[in-house]
Amino acid sequence: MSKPTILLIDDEERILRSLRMLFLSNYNVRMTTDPHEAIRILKTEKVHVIVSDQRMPVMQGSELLRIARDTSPATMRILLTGYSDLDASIASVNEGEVFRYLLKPWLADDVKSAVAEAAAIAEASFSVHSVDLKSVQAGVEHKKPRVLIIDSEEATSITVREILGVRCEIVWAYNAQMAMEELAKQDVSVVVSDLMLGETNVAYILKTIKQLNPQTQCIVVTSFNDTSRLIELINQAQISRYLPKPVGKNLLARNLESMLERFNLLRSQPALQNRQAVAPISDDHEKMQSGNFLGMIGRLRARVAA
Amino acid sequence: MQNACVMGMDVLLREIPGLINSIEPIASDHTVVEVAELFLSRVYVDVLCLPVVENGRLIGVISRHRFLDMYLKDMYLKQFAHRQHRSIRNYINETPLSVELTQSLADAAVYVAENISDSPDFVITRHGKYLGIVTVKDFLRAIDARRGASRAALDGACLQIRSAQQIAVPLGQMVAGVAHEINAPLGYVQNNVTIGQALFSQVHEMIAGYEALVDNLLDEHASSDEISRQMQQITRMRSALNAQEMLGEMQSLMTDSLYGIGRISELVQNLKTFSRSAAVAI
Repeated sequence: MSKPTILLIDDEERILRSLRMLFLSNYNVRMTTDPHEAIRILKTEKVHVIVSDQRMPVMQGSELLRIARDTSPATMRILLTGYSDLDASIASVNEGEVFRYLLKPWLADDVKSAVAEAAAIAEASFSVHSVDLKSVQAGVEHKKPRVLIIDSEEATSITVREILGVRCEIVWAYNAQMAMEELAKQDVSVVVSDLMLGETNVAYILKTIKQLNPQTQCIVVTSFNDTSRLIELINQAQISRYLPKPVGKNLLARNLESMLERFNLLRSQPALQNRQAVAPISDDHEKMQSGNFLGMIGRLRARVAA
Repeated sequence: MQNACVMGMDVLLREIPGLINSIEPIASDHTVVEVAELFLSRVYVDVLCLPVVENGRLIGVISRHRFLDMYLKDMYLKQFAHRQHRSIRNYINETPLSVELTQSLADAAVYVAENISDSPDFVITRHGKYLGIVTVKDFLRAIDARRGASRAALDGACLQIRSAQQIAVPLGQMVAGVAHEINAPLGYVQNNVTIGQALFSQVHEMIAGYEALVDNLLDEHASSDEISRQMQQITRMRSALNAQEMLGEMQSLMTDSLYGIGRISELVQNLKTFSRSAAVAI
């Protein structure tokens, strides 16, 4: 098997040269300081992983990755940035749909393992993406999609109800316990969740969702703004959208539609679901909470099976 | 901020010596008419009391107010002509306002306010010895100036607080900018060193393999099996690592690293310069 191709973009050549050495022996390394050149490479070559800087004079990394999504959907996208500003991280979720958001200065092993994981996933995607995606997406909806709203206030769930009406089963959980029970009970297509329910941080629930069902799509709707927490949610929960609260109806409607569509696509093409594989939970407390949650689900399912 | 205020006060507290008016004291055997002439002279126009000193020690003051009072009484009683050549001994206030040189302006003000009787001017002594007088006019000016200065110091402090607040926001932006500027070179320097370290141990192992082979080739007793085993091992290592190419690449990464470290030092140097000039500005 030929080496996978990795495409590196950074406006600092020394960073490119440095990263290149990490991958030289196991990858076919392409690199450029020019995002337009990167787009050209994506159009003409099979690229497994694109690793881009965020702040570049010509184009933001999140913008380049958005274009990469359209140009080469199978390519896995990684952002490697020294900046941890909120706008960049939000754009990298909503537009770039990045697999990993990595920070500079980086640890060689972290970048290497993220790229290796991404390259393997991309290889599996290429076969799927080579067939006509439209026909795949047109796959029939097997049953009514279930949408779970996790929020201490009702407003978001009312908006979701207005948008989706009877097309979906809509469940509102106003505390963490209810949210966990609903997730345990039945598969959820899309979760629309805030990050804080009163004083309770529910990030651990979001970070556990992909372990319950890798196809479940997660939209975060919150007024909570913390860049480092968002970066964690990108890497460890692979949230699909991060929207400001209060959220506009049209914005939410658009994103709900595309997430329901993506859920269907992943159900018909399980090979693609690894594209949202999550990194391990880094916070010890959240790791414990997540473990308890999974334990609870295990017991519940055992009881149902008995 | 607080230091600025304290420093300002400190300067203001040393003001008594600057106010001393070292007028010539009179002796107790001066005549009434002589003292009247002194009070009427241009030199003493602002003076409200005349110190009476004997052997350098203050024995009292003649206050303008009390002097005029008695003068008027004598005229009224038609005893003026008779008394004007007598000594002023009876006119002396023997418990005058008297302040030691080392007292602060503030303490002096409290003392004067509490003990004022016939003259608001007061005498300055040092260990009881006469030095001069402070006229109420100068004293009030000094107190006023000091209040103004305190207010100025306070205004200055407020201004500093305000400008510190104004500085805080751009400072935050600057710190973020500097962090980013350091981050970029730090990223590749750290990565290059990590790569170099791994390469170093691989090359080290390879050289050990070559050396062992050379030793065996020079050794007449070495078995050919051992030599061929070593050669196979070296072949394996060579296919796993293109040492020549990697070392060549590493060479340029070393150059990049030195450049990056140079960038970081430059930034640190600039920060030092900035902090010095900022300290002066504040």
